[in-house]
Formats: sequence, structure tokens, C-alpha cells
Amino acid sequence: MINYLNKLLITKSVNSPSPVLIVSLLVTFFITYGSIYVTQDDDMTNLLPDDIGSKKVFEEIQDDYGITEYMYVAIGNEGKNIFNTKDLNVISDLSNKLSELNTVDEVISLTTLDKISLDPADSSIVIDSLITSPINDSKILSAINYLNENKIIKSRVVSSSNEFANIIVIPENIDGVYVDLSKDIHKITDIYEKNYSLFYGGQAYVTGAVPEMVQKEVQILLFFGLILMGFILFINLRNIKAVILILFTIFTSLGAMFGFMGWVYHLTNYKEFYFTMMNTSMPIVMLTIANSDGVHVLSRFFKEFRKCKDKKQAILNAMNSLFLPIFLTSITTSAAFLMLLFSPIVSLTGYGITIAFGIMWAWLLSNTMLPALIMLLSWDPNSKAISKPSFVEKTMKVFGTLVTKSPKRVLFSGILITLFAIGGIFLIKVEVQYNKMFREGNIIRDSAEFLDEHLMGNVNVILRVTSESGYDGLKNPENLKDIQKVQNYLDNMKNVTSTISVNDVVKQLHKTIMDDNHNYYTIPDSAQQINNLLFLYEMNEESDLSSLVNYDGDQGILTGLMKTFSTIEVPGLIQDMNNYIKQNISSNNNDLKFEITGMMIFIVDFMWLVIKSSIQGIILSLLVILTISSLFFRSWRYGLMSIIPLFSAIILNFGLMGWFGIELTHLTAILSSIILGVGVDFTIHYITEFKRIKDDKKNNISTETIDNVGFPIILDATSNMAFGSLLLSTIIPLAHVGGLMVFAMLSTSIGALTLLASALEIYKNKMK
Amino acid sequence: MKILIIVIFLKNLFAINGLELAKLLDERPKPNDIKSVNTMILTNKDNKQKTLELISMSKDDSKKQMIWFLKPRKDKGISFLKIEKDNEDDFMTMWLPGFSRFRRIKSSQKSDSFMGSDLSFEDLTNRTIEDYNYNIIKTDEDGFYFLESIPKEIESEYSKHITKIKEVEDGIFIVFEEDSFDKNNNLLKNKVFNFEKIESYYVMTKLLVKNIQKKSSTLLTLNEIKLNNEFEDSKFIQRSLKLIPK
Repeated sequence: MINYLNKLLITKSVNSPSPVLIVSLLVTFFITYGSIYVTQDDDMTNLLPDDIGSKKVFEEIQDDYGITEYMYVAIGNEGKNIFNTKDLNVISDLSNKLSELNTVDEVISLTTLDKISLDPADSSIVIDSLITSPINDSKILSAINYLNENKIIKSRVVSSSNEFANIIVIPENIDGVYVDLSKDIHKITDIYEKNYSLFYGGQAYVTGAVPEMVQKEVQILLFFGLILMGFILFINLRNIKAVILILFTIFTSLGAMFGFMGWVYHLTNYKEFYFTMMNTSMPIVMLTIANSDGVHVLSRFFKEFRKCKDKKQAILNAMNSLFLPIFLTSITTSAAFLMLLFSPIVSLTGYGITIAFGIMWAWLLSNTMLPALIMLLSWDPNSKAISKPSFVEKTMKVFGTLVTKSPKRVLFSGILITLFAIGGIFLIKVEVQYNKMFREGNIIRDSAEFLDEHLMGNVNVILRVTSESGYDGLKNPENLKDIQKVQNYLDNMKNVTSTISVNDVVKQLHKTIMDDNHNYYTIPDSAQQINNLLFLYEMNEESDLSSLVNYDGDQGILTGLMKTFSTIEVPGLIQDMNNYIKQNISSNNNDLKFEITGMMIFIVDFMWLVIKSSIQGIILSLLVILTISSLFFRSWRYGLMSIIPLFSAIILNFGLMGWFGIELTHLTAILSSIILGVGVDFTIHYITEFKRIKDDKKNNISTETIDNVGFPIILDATSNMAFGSLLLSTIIPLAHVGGLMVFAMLSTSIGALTLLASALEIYKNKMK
Repeated sequence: MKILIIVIFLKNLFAINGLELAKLLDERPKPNDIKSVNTMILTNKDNKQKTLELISMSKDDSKKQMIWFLKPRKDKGISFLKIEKDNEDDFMTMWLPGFSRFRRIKSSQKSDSFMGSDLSFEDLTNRTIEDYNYNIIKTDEDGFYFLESIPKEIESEYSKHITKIKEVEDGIFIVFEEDSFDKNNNLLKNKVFNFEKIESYYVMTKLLVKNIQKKSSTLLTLNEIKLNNEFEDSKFIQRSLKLIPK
């Protein structure tokens, strides 16, 4: 089968290069055309499987009470009090414009906030806007007095220094709202940026703004990475045509991969084939893998051309010796990515299938289009690039001798370094504290820090409280008092800036109805009183309790607004809350049930899912590589050898992350895919060459193997290191990906040329 | 041809205009006062329902009105008094039995909901003829007039109403349906009325209000209707709210 395929593709490409080139290009362009159907979905929440407990509760809350994750826009100027007609008119104008957006459910600001108060003229209860238009000095004074008497309400809409107003934007409960709204907000606020300092925050804002930010940065930095990659290839290959051919193979493979994704979505409408934030890493993975095929073909062609000086023969020799390893690396890498079909994250299944297709298409192009193009182009056998080995090629010879002379020492050193790295794995931190994800100067980080310092913070924790006794059970005074206990507990927690529940309304009304007497800022003792108060409140058009209590009155939500905190603290925080509820509420009150959620909490759950999914993917992929290699090399020993350097490279990378305090996020977790994808390439090329030389019963097997495959491996690795350009990213995890990418290339290539080479050298007599 | 022109001319000559139609509607004979036991079924966007039961007493075309809540049980005893006043704010007060207190309600927004329903205070308040511009936008073969009412310079939650009106008896016009539009000219509410002739008066017995934007609805049904009970003005005072009438 392999031989038949080899003959069919290579012979045709070499003997009839023009038709092969035309057909392969036409088919590739047809597939690439599907790219127009690629559909982007930036809503990170859609990535999560529905069976995450905290997400389930969270989504039910969003359906029952509307969106609970808010966006914040802080506006003002340092050193200038916001309470003046001009600034309040601007806030009113901005609030109105935001309210008119289809993506906005409600806007809470100084000029939209309702107050519950007594009219001094006739002691009537007034539920009305805090400041009504036209704004004048007496209305401002009255609003200041009300806010000074209601500090909790004030803290939600004004900074403590009165210099900034906080506009709370509650998104409409519609698909993709976070992404659309974060863009809409900027369109509206742009005109105010000249005269005011503006800060944006809230988990909803970040969730909406980050995917596009990441994609933009990846696009720009990948572009620079590709230029750098071309430069590295040129330095080593010293031939511009060769570099262009490699890059052309990469781009056509990349195009076909996205085209495939688009076509599948277009034909099936499967949401697994949406382009999500997780798919941002796809071009990086694909570029590294497609680069490898091209580098191996071109460098081998040069080597063969140098020997035989006959272009056709050189291509045939190169392709014949590379057909099996390139096929094997492609099939193993594809199979490894197909293991993502078992991932609990929906979009990763589409990701796996798409990358697997891309890899196999890159393989097809490397065996058809690439040899056909080499055949059609003229190559000067006397050029420096072809006639003389490069510096790296020469170095490989020396390196090969070193490994052959002291294999045990090399192997031992490799094992020692790997063992050292294992220690680092235990130090890895899983962190998605989003302001830490950005460098200083980034709008999200600066805004988050500002909101944390001066306003309500950026994140929420939500407790859903259910009364088992059914209709209106929550409004029972005992239950409301118990909810108040939990609310007080939350208020005293570190990082909590404010809490919101139906109790705030009940207490405010109670105080107002009792002639504004502060002693009555409490939950009334009788159910009738509570019902009277809520009846009174619900008469007002704007007084919507539906965001706090459900229609049946047996369930409600208690929200804690919090400053940004480390996700490492999340499990402890949940544990503390659960303990408090268990000891102080559940022991006396069987009627109330509390469930803790919030976007922050289920994003942490999601992170763990990504990590578990990555670990599961690594294990499955290693097993697949082991099985396929064992089958093709017809030896389990070779199979085992093929995964040793991969295993070690993964340990080294994650160990390094632990030792250097690089946090594990969904972005840095993708490295395992790159390590496996590129690493398997190196090991299989090495083993195939080793086995071929061994089967030819030659001496100095390792030296010759390193001489033959060392250069393409190193070239492949160094050119991929160009993606170290991601180090320049303002998004820290992306910069980490860049840095770790360089290390991954070093660890996989050196792993193949040291660990694998020395192990094979030591056990060469046992290998069959 | 000449005959046709004469018919069209005469028809236009005797056709009523919008203002006249509004006046005819307003001048429909009405009882002095009404007492009824009403049910109000509130349905939210998720199709969940709440049923309120109340006793209503009104006088002078509902310019004076008292309401006592009977159901749900938790709200029993809460009562409400409204007295509309010309050229000044309406007087509205509530009796809260849980606190044994009256509390005046000042609602500067006419769009405020009436008892959490889809009816606003503005919906319940009689429209002053002079406050609107009227225009009959069409008539149909069933004899329905479609009257457009656009508020002049008054505070209103609406930009216009289109009311479906029919002459049910000689000179007696009643409302069958009304669409009310918000300030952005989007349809906000649809109201369907049902009138029954009781003791020679056409009395509204059912009103279905759908809030198109909130996707909620309120069905108000008037039962046990008693007309011309000879309620004195002095009955419409705060103290009356404390006791639920039989």
C-alpha cells in the first residue's frame, strides 16, 4: 500500500510535473475557497460543555434573572469632582446612548439610578430617578445628599473621591452579546475620550474583548514570525527558491485547512467547526508541522543533488527515502489530533479534525506539488547552497560522533535533566486572573486595576438561593434574615466590594416607610410587612425585582461584586462560603439551598477541563504514536523509542513552566499539541533513517543517521523558533507561548538527537 | 357619473373628523359609579401567571377610585385610593395593613405600572380631549373607525395611539381595540376591549393588554358589576381603605 502510494505520487510528480502541479493547485484552491464560509464565534462561554455544574447553574440564572455579568465604564478626570451639570449631562448622554443599544438590557448610572425616598413636602414615597433632566444645582445637591446617606448605593456608581462615575452596563441575554457589546461600547465612548479618562472592565467586557485582541496580536506576530522563519530558512538553505517553495507549501496547506473548516461548517452547520478563541492556535500548529515536511524534502533534495548532480534522480532518491517517514509523521500526528474527538470541549473536536485534515493535506502537497515544483524549477548544482554543506550540516557530523562515542553519558544527562524538570511540574499554577494576562499599558489591565482600586472591582460571585417551601418561600422573614447573614459574611470577605440582593430593596423600603428612620434599615419581622413593601415597590415601572427574585418568589440571587483576585484562591473561597453556610444556615434552616457560581468560577472549572483534556490528549496521543510506530516499524521497541523523546520534551516544557513560574492557561496548554506534532516528526525521521541504515548493515549507524537527518531536524526546529516573535505580545500567556515554543523546539530536536540517538546507539543490537 | 360625484361629496360633507369622533367617544353615557369584583391575570414572558382579585369602586368615570386587594392571600387588605385632579398631580395613597400605615405614592412617571400589571397609570387615566391631536386614518367596510391620537405637549409614555372604534348604537361609539406606540414609534401595547350593555350603559367587562416589547400580558375581568350605587364623594377618603367592603 505504502509502496503503491509512493510510486503513484512520486513517479507521477517527477515524470509529469506540470499536470500534477495544476491538479494539486486546482484542488487546493477549491478547498481553500471554503475559507469564505469560516464562521467566527468569539463568545468564550460557548466553548464550555453544558455539563459543568457551575455553568449549568450560571446559565439557568442568566435565563431566569437576565445577564449577571456586567460591563463597567468609568468616566471622569483625576482631581475634578464629577458632580457638576456639565459632567452629569455627559454621563446622562452616555447612559442614554448605551441604553439604546440592542445589546443592552439596562444601564445603571448616576443619571439612571432610582431612589426610594420620602418626599419632605407630603411624606409620600417617591420611587424615582436619582437625578432627572434637566439637571440643575439643586437636583445635584439633593442627589449628593441621598448618596451620602446611602453609601452602599453610592459606591456602585461613584468613586470614593467623587472623581469618576461608574456606568454599569447589563447586557441583553442574547448569543454573542459580550463580543458585540464590547465593540459597541467603544464606538459610543470614542467621542468622550478627548475630554475624559475612560476605563472599561467587568468579566463580561473582558470575555468579549479578549478573543479579538488575541486574534489580532496573533495575526500581527505570526506575520513577523513568518518573515523571521523565511530569513532563518534562507540563512541555512542559502537558496531563495527553496525558501519560497517551503513557504508556499505552508501557505497552501494552511489555506486548505481553513477551507476544509469552512466547507464542513457550510455543509453541516456543525458548531464544532466554528472558529473560536481556541482555534487561534491552529495556524501556529499548522505552520510548524507543514514547515517540517518542506524542510525535510528540500534539505534532502539538496543533499542528494550534491551527490548525484541529477535533478530527477535527486528528487526520486529524496522522496523515496522520505516518503515513509513523512507519511508516518503525518499519520501519527493526525491520529494524535483526532484524539481531540474525545475532548469534552466542543470546539476542540472540530479543531482536531481540521488540523488532522490540514496535516494530511500538507503531506499530499509535499509529495505532489512540492516535488513537481522542484522538478519544474532549474537548480544550479554548482551553487554554494547545493555543492557545499552548510555550517549546521558540518556541525551535525561532529555531534553524531559525540553521541556515538559517549552514548551512556548523553543518555544519563538527558534523563537527569528530565528528572529535574519533573519537580517543576508540581509547581505549575493554573491562573486566569485576567489583568495578570496583560502587560502594563494594556487597556484591559489598566482598566481592571483602576476599577479594583477606585470602584467595585471587576468580577462577581453569585449565590443562587432556593426555598424548598415553594411559592414566595424566599420572602419569608426567617429566610431573608438568613440570606442577610450570608450577605454580611460576603461583605466582610477579602476582595468583596459590595453585595446585592432583594434584601437591599426590602431594607431600604422598610426604612423609608418608617419615616426614613435608620433603625428600620432591617428585614421586617412579619411576612405581611415584607409583602406589603414588595407590593409597593413593584408598582413602579422601573422597579424591576426580576433580576433579584424569580416570578414565583421561591428563588433569588445574591451577588458579590469583587476586586480581581487570583483564580488559585477560587476553590478556597468556595470552600469557605460552603462551610459558613453549612455551619450557620443549613444547621438551623432546612428550607434554603445555596449554590455558588459566577463566570469567574466556571471559567476556572473550564481551565481545569482544558488541562484535563490536554493530559488526556497527551496520553492518548502517545498511545496512538506508540501503536502506529510499532506497527509500521514492526517492532514495539521502535514504537517505545519513538515516544521517549516526546515524553521527555513534554515533561521538560511543563517542568520549566513550573520552575519559572509560568502559569498554565488554556493558551499555554496548547504547547503539548505543538510538542507532539513537531516532536513526533523528529523522532520518526530519526528512527526511519536509523532503521534504514541499520538494515543496510552499515557501520557508524548513529553518526550517519545524525548526518542525514540532523540538519533538517535542526533547521526545522530553528525556523519554527521564529514564532518566538510571540514573545513580543502584550498578552502575557501568548508571550509565554512564544518563549516556550523556542524551548519546545530545542527540547524536541535536541531530545531526538541526544536521548533518542543515544538510546538507539546503546540498544542498537537489541533493535530489530 | 354625476350621481357618483354627488354621493362622494355628500359623504365627505357629513363625515365626522377625528376630534368629533373623540368627543363622541367621550360623551358616551356612563353610570355615575361602578362597583365590581375584578380578577387580574398577569402573564409574564415565560408564560407564568399570577392572579389578583380585587374589589373596585369608582365614580365620575374612574376619576375617583378605590381598590381593595383580596388575593393573593399575602396581599389581602392592601388598598389604594386615587383621585384625579385637574391641573395638579393626582392624589394617590395606599393602606399597608402590615404596618397599619397610609403611604402616599408620588409617581412622577405616568408610565408606572398599575399594581405590577401591563397597565400603566396613564392607561387608567382618562384622556383629556384637548391634550391630543386626532385624525381618522381609515374606516373599513365593517364600520370601524381607526382613530389616531397624538399627544400634544403633555407628558406621555406614548407617541401615539391608534384606536379601533365603532358606532354600536345611534350616536354611541365604543372602543374595540387600541395599539399604543412608544416614543420611538414602535408598537408597545395592544389592548382589546370587551363592552357589555348593562342597564342601558355600555360597560367594559374585559380588557386584555399585551405588552409587545416585554412579551407579557394582563387580562382584567370585571365581575359582579353594580352600577349607580350612589357613592358619595365623601366615601373616597383614606379612612375608607382600612375596611374591605362586602
